[in-house]
Amino acid sequence: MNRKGVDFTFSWIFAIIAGAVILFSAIYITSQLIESGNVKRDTLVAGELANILNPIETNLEDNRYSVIEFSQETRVYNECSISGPFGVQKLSTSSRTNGDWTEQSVRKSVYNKYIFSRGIEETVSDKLHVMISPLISPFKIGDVIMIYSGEYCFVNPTTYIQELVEDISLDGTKDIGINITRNVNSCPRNYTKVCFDGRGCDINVNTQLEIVTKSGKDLYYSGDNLLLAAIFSEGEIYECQLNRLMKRASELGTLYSKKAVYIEGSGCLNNLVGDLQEFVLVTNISNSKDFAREVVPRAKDLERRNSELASCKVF
Amino acid sequence: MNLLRVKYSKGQFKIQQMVFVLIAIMILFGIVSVFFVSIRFGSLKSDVDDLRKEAVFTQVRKMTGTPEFIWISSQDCASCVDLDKLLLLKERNSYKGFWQDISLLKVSRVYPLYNTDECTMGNYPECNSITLVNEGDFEAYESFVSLCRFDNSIGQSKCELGKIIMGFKGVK
Repeated sequence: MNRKGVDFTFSWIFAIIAGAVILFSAIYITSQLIESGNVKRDTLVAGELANILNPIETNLEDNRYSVIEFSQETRVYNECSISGPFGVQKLSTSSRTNGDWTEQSVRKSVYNKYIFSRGIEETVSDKLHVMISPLISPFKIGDVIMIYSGEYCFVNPTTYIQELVEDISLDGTKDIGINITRNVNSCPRNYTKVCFDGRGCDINVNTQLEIVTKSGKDLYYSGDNLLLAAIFSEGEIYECQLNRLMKRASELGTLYSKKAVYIEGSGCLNNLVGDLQEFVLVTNISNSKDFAREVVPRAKDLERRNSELASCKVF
Repeated sequence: MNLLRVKYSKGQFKIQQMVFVLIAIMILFGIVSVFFVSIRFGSLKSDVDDLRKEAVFTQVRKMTGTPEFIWISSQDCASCVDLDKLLLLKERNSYKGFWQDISLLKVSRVYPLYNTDECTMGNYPECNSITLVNEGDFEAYESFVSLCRFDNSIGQSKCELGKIIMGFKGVK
């Protein structure tokens, strides 16, 4: 029997098994570290995105437009929840590395932002368009942040929207992802078509009834800012963000009713306390239809009554 | 007494040798991983610090535009803050945690100054500051604003010089 041969075989088997275990564990740990590195980077991007939106929020301005450029192809995940006193906006991202999308990053929760977009917004040429408008009903409730990518074709839009698009696109010299035409057939093929008071488009807008119909669902709006939000966002996200905005309107309404009481005590008669309290009650909506039917008329009435106050307006 | 003589075979010796090598490799792996994790968490801490700092830095200049702070009675004042509203906001528990990543949120009067510092319903408006968030241990940034309120002594609105102070807490 060749003893030397047996000894040699055993050493080699042992070395191969031990080496394989070490090698595979090293490869596994390295791949896990790369994956966690990607998740970390995407999480930081989501945090940065939330911060980037701060300086472009409105103050006394009507609208703002900006482009967010990413260093690589990115997906922005927009999740909305109505739990808690203000609901939650959750932002996360994933990026494309070596042809594959990385795992969705950790969600960044934000309470004071309302992002209207699709559930997953993917960058086109590493860019996302951002349009921000304040929602004033009857006082400033928050900023409607619309994030969109891809190309939209607006057919016969309202004068306000036409002027807004011409204004921010510098009369068509800057690409803002929106084209305006008079005829639906003039829209390029891969564009999302939006018909104003017409039919046959991906998204149809009834400006008389203030309804946006997309994917067979009716989204109710009031004012041009919410009209754009309804166009750019997914139905569920639109309803959720509107619900969150109404939660904030409820808190602000309570704050203003307390202010109305306080300044009345200081000699500023306004008679708005009861109306503000009623406004707070109607802000408890379950969908956009409730908003259009219940909140909007009350808000208009409050706005009129507040504007009639001469020296000491409540809001 | 007879000593027992143990003979080790060459194979047993090699196994022992291999075990030592494996243990040494594992220890080396362990040290490298501890070193790597400490560097990684160090950079993560600084990244989170940077994000929080940026959140405060970007918000401090835009705070006057938020619905809770904005003074709408005069439509043309972008840096005016509604002091009456802020005093009432201080009492609202629902706003706890609303301003994320911010460990200090305060408005202070710059001129004229009164003897009492923190405002309450009892001493308002003869007081100097309204603190909405104070979690201690922060790095703060300031922005000058106008603090506006309805003044019953003159029967109209009055604005005074003040500042918004916002701070963020670093990761420990």
